[in-house]
Amino acid sequence: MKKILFALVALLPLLVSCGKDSKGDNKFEDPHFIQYAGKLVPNTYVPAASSLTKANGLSGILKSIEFTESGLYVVGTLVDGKLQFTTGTYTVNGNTYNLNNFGTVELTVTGGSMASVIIHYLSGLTETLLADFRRATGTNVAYRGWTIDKTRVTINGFHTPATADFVGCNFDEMAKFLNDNGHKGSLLPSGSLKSVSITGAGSIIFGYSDSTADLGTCTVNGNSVNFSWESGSRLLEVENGKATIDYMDGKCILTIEAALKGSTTSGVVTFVLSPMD
Amino acid sequence: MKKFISLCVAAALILPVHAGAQVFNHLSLGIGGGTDGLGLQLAAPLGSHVDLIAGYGLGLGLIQVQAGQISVPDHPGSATSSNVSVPLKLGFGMNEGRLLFNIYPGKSGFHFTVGAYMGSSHVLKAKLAGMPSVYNTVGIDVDGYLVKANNGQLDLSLCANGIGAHAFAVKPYVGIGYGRAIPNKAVSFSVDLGAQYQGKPTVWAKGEGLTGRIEEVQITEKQLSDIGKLQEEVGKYASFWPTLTFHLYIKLF
Repeated sequence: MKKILFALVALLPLLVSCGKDSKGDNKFEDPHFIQYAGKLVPNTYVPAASSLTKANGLSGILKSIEFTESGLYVVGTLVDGKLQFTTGTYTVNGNTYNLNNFGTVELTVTGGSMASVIIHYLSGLTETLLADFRRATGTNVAYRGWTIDKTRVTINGFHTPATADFVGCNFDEMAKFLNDNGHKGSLLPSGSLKSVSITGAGSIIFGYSDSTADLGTCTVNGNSVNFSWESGSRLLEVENGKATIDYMDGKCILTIEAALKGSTTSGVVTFVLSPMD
Repeated sequence: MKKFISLCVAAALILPVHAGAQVFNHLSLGIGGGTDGLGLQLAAPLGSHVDLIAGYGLGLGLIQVQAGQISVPDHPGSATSSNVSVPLKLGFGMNEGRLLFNIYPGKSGFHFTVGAYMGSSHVLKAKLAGMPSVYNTVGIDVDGYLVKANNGQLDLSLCANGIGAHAFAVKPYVGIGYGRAIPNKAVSFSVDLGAQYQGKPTVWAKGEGLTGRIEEVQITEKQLSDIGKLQEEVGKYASFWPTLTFHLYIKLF
């Protein structure tokens, strides 16, 4: 009998099942430009449209410059009443921000959030203005730039939801997927989405392969992300946006439920993101 | 059913004590196969009326039968897509240990068997071959895992937990048989017929998570209505797995 009991006890470990792994290690180093991040909005002097025309192809009225925690800048200009956004990388030397393919921005905070700004455009033009400089606040791990490893798209089809994975985020490939499944892929913008940035200054920025960007206001509350795109955004074609953010295996998982305007297409887009820096 | 099996197991454990017989004084090796896969098992006596059998069985899926045709749309999300018929092939997929007691009421080889199969919940491997090429990239999202075909083939598994869980199934077994697991001479032959209680089978497949993790996930009616109907249909007949096995036992000592 002792032998039998011993045998039964020996079998007990077999009865212990293993659950799925946890979400892995999700610690991220602080982004490198966290102390320089913020949003600059001119408030006393708006450069003439002609001024920006001389600035290496930029045109329109300067509306904002956003500096992200991961060394990306986004310049917003108003052209023919429509907002346009251009993006690139920046470095900082003292109080001077060096914006790649744009020029330099000397920024001196004069009190509170007021700042005296001198912009040296690449064309050689220099302009001085006062601006509101809203520094990034908060320490949410989401506040940084993210590159796109993978995009998973699920469309609510006519037969059954169909899901496909795409390396990176190439809109042309996604448009073919939508078209093949009977939806209007032509509503998607062309090119590729290269980065997603969420900033402590309250912005969400989608950076594209052609150095343009879309910018919206954004708040992160727990796993919930609320955002709305600025007018002129290509992503205004996406309506009913609702997003969640999560972290798994050292990646950021940003999931957006959305529908395309003027289409029967609705579905879920999930970005798998890696820290940019 | 559970009470009956518990009583049988208790009887199997108590009988040798009352009989005052030697236990584990012989050992035999059994090899064989049947509807529980290819098996390798060891048998030892628990007295003159009971043998304890512990072993392992594996269904390699080498023998496959075509179980019909499944109709799939050539583009799963499209209203205008036409349907393509692909063959459904089934093969054994079990991978489990077994702990059984042969109870011999008389001197002949006739015996009752009680015990359980334990381990993987997989019962059958299902293969949908010749899927439209679009299914190599497009599939269904199951709880964050993308299930799709690989080189035109979608692999599925029919699983059943018995009274256990998916990660570790426990399937009680009762049956009858003829032949001794501990040969009186050098070798013996045994044939057994019984049934495993495996409960309602479910359909599972491997899916790729967002970060590249591969996990086995359950496909339900929520994801594919046809799967739900299939499960309901199979569940009517497959709660008990018929188990017919043949074993050759070699006496080790």
